[in-house]
Amino acid sequence: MRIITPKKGEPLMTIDPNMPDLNRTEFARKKADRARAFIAKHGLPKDKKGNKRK
Amino acid sequence: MDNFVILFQPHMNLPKYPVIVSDDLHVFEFFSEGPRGHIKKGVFYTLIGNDLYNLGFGDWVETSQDLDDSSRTNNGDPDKVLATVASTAIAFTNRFPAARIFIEGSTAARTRLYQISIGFNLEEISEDFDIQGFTSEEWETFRRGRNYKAFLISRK
Repeated sequence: MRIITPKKGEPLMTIDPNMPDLNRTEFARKKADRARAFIAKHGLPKDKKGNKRK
Repeated sequence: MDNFVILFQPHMNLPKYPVIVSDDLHVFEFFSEGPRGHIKKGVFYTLIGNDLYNLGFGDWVETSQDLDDSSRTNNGDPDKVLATVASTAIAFTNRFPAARIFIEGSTAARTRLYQISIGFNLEEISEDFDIQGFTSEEWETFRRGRNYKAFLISRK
């Protein structure tokens, strides 16, 4: 086990390199599609310079 | 197994569950503990655009081997669960500081729950994050007392 030096804080997370990739689930695909549809319809906030973000 | 412990900023001074995370920091798991038992939760960040990620979150269902957010868990720990999800956003943006995270509840009620939680912890969250909310018409800087349909957060 290796401790990563904190910026500030407390130990709460353990990395498991063998964790299943939930991003490959049907649930994740549907959620990503829904988010893309929302953003396609409504856009994104302007950035700090006032430009529309892509 | 090669395990690491990540130490991170204890944002939102609320109790949180210990989290297991994938080595790319895109997927997180933890267990909700309460009267309805030991419920496995999954949180994941899906790339959907240029430095733009969708935050997905739900209960793990063994039978389908997939997540589900269609039912209420009612495990008596919503604040602890949301604080834990928030902690994953901190860890994720520590690794990917340019990331923008899109958040939308699966229902209007759930989006409102997120809105209340953000509002309740706004000062702490705003120390490190810009928070935008989408009203019925446009994006604006998050304000308490406003109703939003979705949120976009990014590190300052």
